[in-house]
Amino acid sequence: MIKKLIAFGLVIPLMGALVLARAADSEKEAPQDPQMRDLPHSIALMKTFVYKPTPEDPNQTPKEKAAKEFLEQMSPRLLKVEVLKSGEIRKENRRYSTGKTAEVWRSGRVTFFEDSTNPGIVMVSTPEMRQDSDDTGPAKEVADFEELGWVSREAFQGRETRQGVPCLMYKNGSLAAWLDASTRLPILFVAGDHHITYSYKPLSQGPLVLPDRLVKELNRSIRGWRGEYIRH
Amino acid sequence: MQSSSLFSYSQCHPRRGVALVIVLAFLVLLSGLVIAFFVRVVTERQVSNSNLSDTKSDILARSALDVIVGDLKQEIVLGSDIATVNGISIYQPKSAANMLPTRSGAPPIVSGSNPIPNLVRRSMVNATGIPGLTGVASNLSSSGTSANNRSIKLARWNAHYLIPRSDTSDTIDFTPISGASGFTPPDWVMVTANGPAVITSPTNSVIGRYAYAIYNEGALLDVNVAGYPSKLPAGDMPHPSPNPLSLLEWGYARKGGVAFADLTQLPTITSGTLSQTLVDRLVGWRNYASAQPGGTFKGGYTFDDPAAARYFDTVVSATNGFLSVATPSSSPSSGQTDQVFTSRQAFLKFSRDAGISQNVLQYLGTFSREKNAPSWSPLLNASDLGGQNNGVNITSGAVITDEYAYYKKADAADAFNRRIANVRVTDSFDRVDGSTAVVGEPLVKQRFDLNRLSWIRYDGTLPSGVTAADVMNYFGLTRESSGAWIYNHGAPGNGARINTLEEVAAQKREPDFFELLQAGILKGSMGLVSGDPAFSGDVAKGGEFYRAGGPLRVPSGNNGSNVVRTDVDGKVVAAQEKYQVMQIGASIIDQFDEDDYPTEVVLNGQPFTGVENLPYINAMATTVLRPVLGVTTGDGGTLLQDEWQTRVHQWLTFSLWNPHRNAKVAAAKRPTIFRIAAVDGMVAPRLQNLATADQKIQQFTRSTPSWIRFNIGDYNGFSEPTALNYAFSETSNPNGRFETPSKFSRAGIYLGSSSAVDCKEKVPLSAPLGNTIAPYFNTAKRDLSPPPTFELQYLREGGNANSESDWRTYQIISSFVHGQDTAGDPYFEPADPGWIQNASTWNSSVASQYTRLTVDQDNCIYAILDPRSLRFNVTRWQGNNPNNLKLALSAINGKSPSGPTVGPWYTGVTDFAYTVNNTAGNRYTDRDFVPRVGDLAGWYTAAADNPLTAGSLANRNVMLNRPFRSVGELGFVFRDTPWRTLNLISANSADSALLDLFCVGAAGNGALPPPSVVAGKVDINGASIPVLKALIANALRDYQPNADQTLTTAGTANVVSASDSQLIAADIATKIRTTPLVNLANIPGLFPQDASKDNNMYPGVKWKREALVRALADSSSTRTWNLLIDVIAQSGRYAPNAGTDLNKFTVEGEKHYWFHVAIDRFTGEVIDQQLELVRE
Repeated sequence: MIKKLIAFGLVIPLMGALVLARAADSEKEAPQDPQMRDLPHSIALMKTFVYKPTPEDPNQTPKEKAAKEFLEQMSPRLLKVEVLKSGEIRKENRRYSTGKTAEVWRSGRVTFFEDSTNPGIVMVSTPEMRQDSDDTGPAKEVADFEELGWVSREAFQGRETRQGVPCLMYKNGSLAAWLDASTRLPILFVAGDHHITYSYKPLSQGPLVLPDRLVKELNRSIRGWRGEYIRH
Repeated sequence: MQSSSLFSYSQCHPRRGVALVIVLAFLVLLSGLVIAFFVRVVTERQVSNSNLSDTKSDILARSALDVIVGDLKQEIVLGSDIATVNGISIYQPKSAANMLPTRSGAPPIVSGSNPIPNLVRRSMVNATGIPGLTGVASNLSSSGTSANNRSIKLARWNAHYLIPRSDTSDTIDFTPISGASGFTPPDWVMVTANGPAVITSPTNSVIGRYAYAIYNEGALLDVNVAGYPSKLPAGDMPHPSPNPLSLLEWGYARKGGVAFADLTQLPTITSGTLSQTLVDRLVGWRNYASAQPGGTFKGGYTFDDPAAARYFDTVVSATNGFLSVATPSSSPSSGQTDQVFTSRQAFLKFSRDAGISQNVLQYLGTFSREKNAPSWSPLLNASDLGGQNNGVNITSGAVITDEYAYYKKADAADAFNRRIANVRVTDSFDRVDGSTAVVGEPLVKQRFDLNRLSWIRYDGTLPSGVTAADVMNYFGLTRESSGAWIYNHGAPGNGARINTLEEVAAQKREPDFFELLQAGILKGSMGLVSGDPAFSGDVAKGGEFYRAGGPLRVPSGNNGSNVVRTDVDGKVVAAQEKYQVMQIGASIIDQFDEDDYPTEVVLNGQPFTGVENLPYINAMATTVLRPVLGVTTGDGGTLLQDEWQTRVHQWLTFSLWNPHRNAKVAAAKRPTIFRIAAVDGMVAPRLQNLATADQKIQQFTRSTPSWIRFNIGDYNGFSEPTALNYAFSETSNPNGRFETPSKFSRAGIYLGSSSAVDCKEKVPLSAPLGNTIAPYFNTAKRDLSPPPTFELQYLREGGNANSESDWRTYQIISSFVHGQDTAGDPYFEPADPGWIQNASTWNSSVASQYTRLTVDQDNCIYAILDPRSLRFNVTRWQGNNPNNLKLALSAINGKSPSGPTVGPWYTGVTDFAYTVNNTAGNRYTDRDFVPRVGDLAGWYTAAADNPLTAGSLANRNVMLNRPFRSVGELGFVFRDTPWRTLNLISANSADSALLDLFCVGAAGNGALPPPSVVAGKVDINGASIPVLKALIANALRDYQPNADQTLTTAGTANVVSASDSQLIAADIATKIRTTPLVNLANIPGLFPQDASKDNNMYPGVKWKREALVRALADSSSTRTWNLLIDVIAQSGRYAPNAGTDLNKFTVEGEKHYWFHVAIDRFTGEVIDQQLELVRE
C-alpha cells in the first residue's frame, strides 16, 4: 500500500511536470496546417503599405542620385490596397505612390486589371496565358496574400501579441509576419524596407457581381488568344 | 455531220451474256431477212439479181458492223470493274491496259517504232487475246480470189490513207506498206444462217462474209477543228480591232484545244512538212464565212490580222463543241458559209483538190467525239504514293484508318475524292440545264466550264443572261452588301462546310464549283500546317497548330507561337481542308478575272480572299527609339520634347512584297490606296523587369483602328520586299512617322511608349541595365489581351478613305502573338546618332542576313517565306546571329534549313526549303505523308532558279488576270502553301484531277452550258508522234510581263520548239505505249519527274514545264473509243462443187463501208456514229 502511495506521489508530480512541459512547448510549436487561412467568403480587407526612407549614400554622384529618383518614379509603390471579397469574386482598389490608381477584379483564377494610366482599357489574365514569364504583373496575383506565400510551419517562430491581438509569428530571413492566432489571417507583414498592416471588416455591401463589361472583355480575350477571327 | 440513224446500240450490260444477246438479235434479224430474201427470190423474179445482191450485202455489212461494235462493247465489259445502279453501269477499267481496244493483227512494234500507229486490229484467223470476240475469222485472207474471180486488192484497204503508203513518193497510189512490218489483209469472217462461224471447208450454210480493219480515228487530228491560219500570232498579244468579244488577248501559243494544233508539224515525207499555205487553204475553206479570208480556194486563201482575229474569235467562242458549223452571220461572206467535212471521202477529195500530200492524211481524221464529262477516279492510295493511308483526327488525335486510302475509298459515301462517274443521282431532279437527272446516272454529267468564273465580279454586277440564282447553283455563293460572297449551299453543313458529292446527290442538285474542287483535290494534300496532329494542342510535342478548341496559344519558352487563325469552332483554320478549298477557289477566280480586286468568299464566318497581283505583308519588325532633339513626326511638327525624350517609343513597321513575276504590271482595274490597320487587341511597349512602369497601352478597335496608309504607285509594285517608309506613307497617329535630324526615319503603327530607364542625363552609363531593359511588345507577356490583329486593306473602288466600311481586308494577321526574348537581343535601332552609348554595344546588326527582310532585320518579329499565305510563318526575334536562324527564312539564302524552332517539329514537316525541293527529303510532306514538290518542283538546279533571290522575277509565278484559255492554266493558281501553285506537272500531283473536272468552254460569260459532246479531242493513248508533236509544238512556255499587260512578246522565242516537241512527243509515245492514261489527270505522269532532267525540253521552272500540260489538257481525250471500222461485206455462197478450197466462194454482192463510231469507255454508250459508203 505504502509502495502504491509512494508510487502515486511520484507519478502525479511527473504527470504535472509533463503537462507543464507540453504547455511550454505549445508556445513554440506551429499550429496545425494550414498556417494561414484564406480570406473568409465575404469580407473587406485593407492593406496599408509603409516604406522606410532610403539612407543617403555619401558616395553617390548627382547623376546616380538623379537616376535613383527617376527609377523610383518609374516604379510606383503601392500605398493602399482595399480588397473586397464575395465568394469567388474579388475586387481590389489600389493606390500607388505616384498617384496612380488601379482596380483589379478577380473571378476565380481570372484577373482583370485597369489603371488610371490607361483609362477604359481592361487587361485580362487567365492561367492559360501565363507560362514562364518573370513578370510581376497582375497575372500572378492569384493568392489572397501573395506576399505571404513563404509562411509555413517551418517559418513559425512562436506566439506574440501585436496590436493587442494574440498572434502567430513567422520569420524567413528579412521577412516577418504576424497572423491573428484565432483567425489565422495576417495583421502585419514586415519586409526589408516596408511593412504592410492588414485590417478587416465585414463586407458592407451585398455580394459582388462581375461587371458585364469585364465578362465581355474576358470572352473577347479568350477568343483573341485562341486566334479566333471574327469577320466584321 | 449528221450521224446515221440506222444503227441503234443498246446500253452495254455488264454481263458476258450481252454479247450473246446481241448475236442472237443479229441472227434473228439476219435469218428473217434471209427468209424474206428467199421469199422475194421466189415470188418476185422480176427483181434483178444485182439489186438483190446489193441489198443482201448491205444488210450483211451493217449486221457485221453490229457484231463488231458489239464485240468492242463486250471488250469494255470484260475489261472493267462494273458498278450498276438502276440499270446504269459504269465500267472502270481494271487496268490501264484496258483503256484501249486490244491490238490484234497489227505489225509488231520494233524498237519503239509502230509501223501502223492507227491500226487497232483486223479480222484475223486464230485471233486470240481479244475479250468477248465473237466475229472470229476463218483461215481465209481477203486478198484471195473468189470462185468468180473477185478479190480485195491490198490498196483497197488503204483507201482512207490511214496506213502509211508503200510508195510515199507516188502521188496517186495508196497501196499500204505490207509484209511482216506492214499491213496484212484481213481474213474473212464467214457468216452462216446462225451468224459468224469459223469454217474450215466450204459449206452451203454460208450466206456471206465480211472482213474488217479497225483504226483509232480518235488519235488523229480532226480536220473539222484542227489548224489555224497564218497571221495568228504566237504569244499572248493584245487582241486587234475590231474586237467584238472584248477579248484581252489572242494568239495560238496558249493553246487550249486542237484548233491551235500546229498542222505544219505534220510530215509530208517527200516535201518536209505540211505548208502553212495549205493549212490556210484548209482553214479558209472550212471557216470561210467566219474568218472571211481573202483569195479563193484555187488561188489560195490569204489572212490578214482581222481575218486571223475573226478566226480566233470564232474558235474560242464556239458553243457547239465543233459539232456543227458556226452560225452564219446575217450576210455570209460572198454568200458562203463555213463548211465541214461530213465524211472522210469528202476530206480526201478536198485534200486532192488542195494539193495536200497523201502522206499527211494518216494523221488527219474527220470524226471525233467525246462526252464532255469527267471520269476521274483516284487510282492509288497514299501508301502507293509514298505516303500513309491513315490520318489523324485533329480534334481528338485519334487515328482515322484509311483516311487517305484514296483508291480504296473511291466509292465510299463519305469520301471527298470519289470515283466521279460512280457518284450517282439518287433521287431524280431537274438539272440546271433543264434536263432531268435520272436515278442511277452520274451526278456529275458535265465538266464545269471555267468561263463561269466571270460571273464573280468584284463590283457585283452579273453578265448578261446570268442571274443570282445561277451564281447560287454553280457556286453556292450569295453576294452581301459588303462585296463579300457568302458560301452556303444548304444542308448538311448550312454554310459551315462544303458538301461531299454524296451529300450533294442527296440534296437533289448538281455540285458547285467549290464542291468539285473539294472532290478533285486529294484530301491529304490540304490542311498542311506545322505540328503533329497526333498531339493536337500539345505545344511540347509540336502539336500546337492542330489545336481544336483546346488550349490558348501560349508561346513555348522564348519562341513565338506562329500566327494562327481559328474559327468559331475553335479549330485552326489552316488545318482544315474546307478552308483551303475556299482559298484556292477564290484564287482561281482572281487568276481568271481581269482586275486586281481580291474576291472575298466566306465559309463558316471565315473570309478568304483570292490572291491577286498585289503586295502582301512578308515581315514585321519593331523599332524602339528614345528620340533625340529635333525629331519630326507625321503631323509636321515636333513633339513636346520632354515627353518625347523621356520615354521609349515603339513602332511596328511592315515590309510588303508582291511575289509575282508581273508585280510591276498594273491591271486596268485595281485598288491604289492601301493600308495596314490594327483593328483589334492591344499592345504596349514596356521594359522588362519593370512591368509596372508607366506604360501607355494602345488598344485597337475596328471602329477606330490605328493604321499606316500608302499609295501603291509610290512603291514600284513591291516587286521586291519593300518596307513602308516615311516619305510615302500616312499614319492615323501622327507619331506613326518620324524622322530624326540625321534623317533616320521610320513609319509604321505607333505602339506607344513607356518611361525610359536610359533617360538623358539621368541614367549612369555604368548602370547594370544591359539585357534587362529590352522593351516588350507587350502581348508576349501574356497578361495583356487580346492580342492585336492586323489587316492589310484596300480602299474599294470609289470609296471614301474616311469611311471604315470602304476598306476591304485582303490579308489577315489574326491575334498576333510573338515570342519573347530574354536573351538580351538588340531591340534598339542601330546606327542612329541619337542613341546613347548603351545602344552602341547592341549595334551589331549584320547587314542583310535575311535578304527578304527589308524591315529591321534584327528586330523582325514576324516573317513568312511566302507572303501570300500564313502557313509556316514565324514570329520570333532571331537576333543577329545567322546560326540561330532556324526558320523558313533559311531557304532564302540557300542555307541548309533545319526547320523552325517552335516545338519539336512534326517529322513529316522537317524542312522548309520548299521552294527548292531538290532532294527527296527536302520536299513538302503533306498530311497524307506524300512528299510533293513546290513550284521549283524538284528541278531546282541553280541559285538563279530561286524565286526568292532578289530580282529573280523570271522564276516567280505569273498572275494571268485574264480568262483561262486552257484548263492547264489552273497551274498558275496559288495553292495557299508557300511557293506552291496547283501542281499539274508531277506524277503524284494532288491537283491533276482538275484537268478532268473542269473545262474551258466558249469565251464569253459562260451563261450557256457547255456542249455535252464535243468534237476535236485527240485520243492521247493512241496518238502518233507527229500528232503529239502538232499538239505540243509552239505551246507558250514563258509568260513574260509587258507594260501593256500582255504577258509575252510576239514571236516564237518563248514557245516549245519544233525540235523539242519532236523529242517530247517521242517520249510521250513511248510512255503511253507502256501505260496508257486512264484519265486526263494522268497527263503529268507523261513527263520526267527526275530533277536531273533539266534541259530545253523540260526546263526547270514549273510553269514552263506545264506548257506541255496546257497544250495537251484541252485537246486530249482518254475516255472515248473513236474508231473507224473499215468493213467489206460480200453476200454469196459456196457452190456445191467448191470442194475444200475456202476461196471458192461465189460473190454475189459487195458493200464497202467506213463506219465511224464513238464509244464511251466508261459508260459503254455509243455517243455518235457515222456510216460512210465507200465509193471506189
